[in-house]
Amino acid sequence: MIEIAGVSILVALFIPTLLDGVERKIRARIHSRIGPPILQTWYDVLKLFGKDFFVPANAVHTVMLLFMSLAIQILLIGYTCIAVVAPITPYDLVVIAVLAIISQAAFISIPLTIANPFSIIGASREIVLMLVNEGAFLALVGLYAYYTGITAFSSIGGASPTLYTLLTIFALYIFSYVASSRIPFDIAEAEPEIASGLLIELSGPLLGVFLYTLHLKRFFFKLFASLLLLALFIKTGALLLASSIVLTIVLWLVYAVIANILGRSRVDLASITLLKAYLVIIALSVLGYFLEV
Amino acid sequence: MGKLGFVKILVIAAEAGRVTRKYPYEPPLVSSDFRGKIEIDETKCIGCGSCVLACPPNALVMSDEGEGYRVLKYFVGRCIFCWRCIDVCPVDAIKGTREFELATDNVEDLDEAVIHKRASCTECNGLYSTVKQKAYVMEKAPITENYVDKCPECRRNKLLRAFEKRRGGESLE
Amino acid sequence: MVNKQIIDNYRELALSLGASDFAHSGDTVYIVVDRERLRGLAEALYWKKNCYFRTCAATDETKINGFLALYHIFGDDRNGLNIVVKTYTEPNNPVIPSISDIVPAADWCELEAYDLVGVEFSGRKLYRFMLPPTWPKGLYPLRKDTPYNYRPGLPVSGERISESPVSAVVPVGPYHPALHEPEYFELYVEGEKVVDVKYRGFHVHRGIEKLAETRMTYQQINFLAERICGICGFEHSVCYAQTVEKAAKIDVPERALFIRSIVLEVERIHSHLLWIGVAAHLLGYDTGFMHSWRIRELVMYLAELLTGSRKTYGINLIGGVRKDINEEKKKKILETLELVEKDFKKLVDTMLGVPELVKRLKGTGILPREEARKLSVVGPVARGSGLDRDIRRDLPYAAYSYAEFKVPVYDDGDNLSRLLVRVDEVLGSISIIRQLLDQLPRGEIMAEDIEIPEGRIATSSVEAPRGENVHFIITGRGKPYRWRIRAPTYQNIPALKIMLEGENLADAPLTIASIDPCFSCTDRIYVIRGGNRYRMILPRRY
Repeated sequence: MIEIAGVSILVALFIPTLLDGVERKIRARIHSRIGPPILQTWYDVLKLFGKDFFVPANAVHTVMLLFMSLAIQILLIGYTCIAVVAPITPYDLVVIAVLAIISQAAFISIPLTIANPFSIIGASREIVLMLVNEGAFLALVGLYAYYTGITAFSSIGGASPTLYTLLTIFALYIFSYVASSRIPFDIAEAEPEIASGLLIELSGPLLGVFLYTLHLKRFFFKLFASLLLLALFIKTGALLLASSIVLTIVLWLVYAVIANILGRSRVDLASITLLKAYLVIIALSVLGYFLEV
Repeated sequence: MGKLGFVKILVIAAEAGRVTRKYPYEPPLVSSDFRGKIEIDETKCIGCGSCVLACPPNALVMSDEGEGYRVLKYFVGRCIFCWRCIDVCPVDAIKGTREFELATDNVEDLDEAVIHKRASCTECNGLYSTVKQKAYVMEKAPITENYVDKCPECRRNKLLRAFEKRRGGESLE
Repeated sequence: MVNKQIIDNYRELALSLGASDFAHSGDTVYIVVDRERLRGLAEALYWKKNCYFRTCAATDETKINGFLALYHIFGDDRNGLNIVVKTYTEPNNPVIPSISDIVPAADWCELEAYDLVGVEFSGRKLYRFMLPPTWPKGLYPLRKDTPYNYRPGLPVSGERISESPVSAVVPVGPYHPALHEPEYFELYVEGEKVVDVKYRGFHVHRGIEKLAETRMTYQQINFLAERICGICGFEHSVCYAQTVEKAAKIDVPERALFIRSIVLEVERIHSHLLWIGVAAHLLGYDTGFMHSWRIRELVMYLAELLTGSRKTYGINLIGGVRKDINEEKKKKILETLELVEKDFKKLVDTMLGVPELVKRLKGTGILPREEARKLSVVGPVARGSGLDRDIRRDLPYAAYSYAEFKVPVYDDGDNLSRLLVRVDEVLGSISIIRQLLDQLPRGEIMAEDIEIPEGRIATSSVEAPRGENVHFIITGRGKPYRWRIRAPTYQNIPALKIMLEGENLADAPLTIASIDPCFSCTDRIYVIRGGNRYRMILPRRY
């Protein structure tokens, strides 16, 4: 069983950057242009790793945080893949949720450590968005666990799909979209507004690490929502993991299309709209639970 | 479609298809009327300098060099491809092309020159105009053959002397 | 064409306010006034007669009459009139009273006259505006005794406009990967709110006026004029050519006028499509950007077919145009227009359905009507703020009197209004081209016998995609004695301060872009007092 987890981990570490290449190809098609080859993002990341190692001026702990963030992200994916096929603790879901929050915090603290106004503005925008988004994430995972009794993937046996559970998963997908910093929620990067915001001071290997971490992050949150969804239907750990990865890939493509037919939001608009959406969905879900719909 | 009208962009994209090209592996989109680099036919050029006077960015310049040569230089790097030189050339020596891929790693590739032999005055041996321009003038206006052999200076002196003779006075010089 | 009664009214007004001379020719009224009476006349023209302010042109006329002269050009658009007010001053004490407190729109051109010709303006603060801070004092580039190729060795100087008391200062620019043209913006923000704006430009001031007045010939300048702007250059070359034609009273063949109008409208379409694309890009809607530019590409190809070049068409000469439109091309134009119209309507429809786009366009970057009037803003910025002005209709040139078109005016003064004006104008331009092609007269495209006498004065305007271009010419021997150019962005940038203050930082790039600025043709400095907190440098487009 552990071999399946191992293969999954390798896939999960390689495929996100590839999927980004596919996303660029999709974007190009929607733009009516040819676009780069599918492996382009991998070429880019590898090329960045080959560049001079340059630490931005006035950057404190940036490098450390960057690699820490990458490490946590890999740990998160590894832990999740193993926990699905071979449960580690009875509270794996909680461990994963906590690790996810830590990974987000580590990720956003990278641009905060660089004394560049664009970087800081980008990061502060991201934090405002996160306050809404992460809060919702914890609430949704909590509700899910409460509804289904799933606290680890060892306990998926008894769970069955109900409308209110599906609502929380739907909201988790919204969360995963927002957390992927795609348009309309790429306000922290917002190239034409704040010159790529949180990316502005990063270059060479540091930028490579940052981008790779971002790809892993995008993959993980989609995978996580897919696992919780499919856990309601598939009861074998290995099959659950494999099918969740497939669903994640499909979702990635769907997200890629959505990102290209919308415009960028603004930090005040985005956070308020999101807050409203989450509150409505959570309220409906709780209501559904009590009415047993 | 109502509120989801923006999804129509996918239809627009599908209808438009792929519009970019794999240039330089596919031919560029250049229309029949495109103005590109000019070509100077050195067999036709008479070195009169009309193009140099018309050229707005000084891409065409003329200078006297060495012993008895007049050189028309064309530097593509300055050229704005307006083709005014083609308009004004009296002998149609300049031809427009549709060539535009002019980038090079050697700046000398951007230079072109037509070298003319200058005419020499039969009286003072001084250099003036070009041999070909002299021939052109003689061909167009045969009546000029009496004085076209002389440089402008000698020509003027000759004229002044003629006046002197007629009026019986002394030259101002 | 112009009502005699109106001219008489102006004569009466001018003479009653102490003008020493009054003349009228075609659509232009010339008034000469003493320095002491200039302010009174300016106030009457700008506020009582409700004229717009076009620009002012300082001229070194020492070689003609021993004086420096300042020409203030006003425009009575409703009556189709240019009003040129001339004031003399002595070169050894060149003081003229400033009118910038009465006519705020005259602020920049006074500073420019101070910098380049050395005219001192009394009653206002004067400072280095256009030339580098280290430029030698007392060296005025546009004085006739300054050679055009004189280069004073200048020490390198920094770009900082002022120091911010807070530590977050990043002196980036004017050359920066995120900047598309060399210019320098400082936005002072509190949180995400913009509290102050500073702008410094002129990095690409190329001395075009000086070059034309010294090195070039009348016909060569057409090509130089075209290079004032990379997007709407043809408007400048038309404006230059028609100003000289007006000064020299050259009859341009009708067919040439029609061709000019057609190509001008082709340029307007591609310029607006470019802008709409950029606006979409700034709002993160790159798909709209790509498709707008895909449609634009059809127009660019058409422009190349009609003129020989995608940009810098090079078909204008004084007296006419160089390239004719034959039947085959006519067909191609109509085909392309049909495609463009269909695609454009679909795209705009879809774009205006994207929720974030509309939310961020509506109510942002507001320029109220009164402020727009005060600053005499031009083009879509004016029409988006409820000012109904369009040179094509008000002072028809080329062949515009043969076409019928509506001038779109929106009253909200926000970014959406300015977008809608441009959308309407694209459709308007398509219709104008169709009408003109339909009536295209036969005949020559170039006037014969072009003679340009010395000492004539003329001014004329062309409605470029960004607003009116104003050219002012005093003819000289073989080349203009004085050629003054006013690009539309010159008039519109001062309005940015009003649009940006209190605005969300995220909307600032779009607001700046909403005037469709062209820095190569404008290039000014703009300094506003006050403000603190962060200093940041704004990335901007092209």
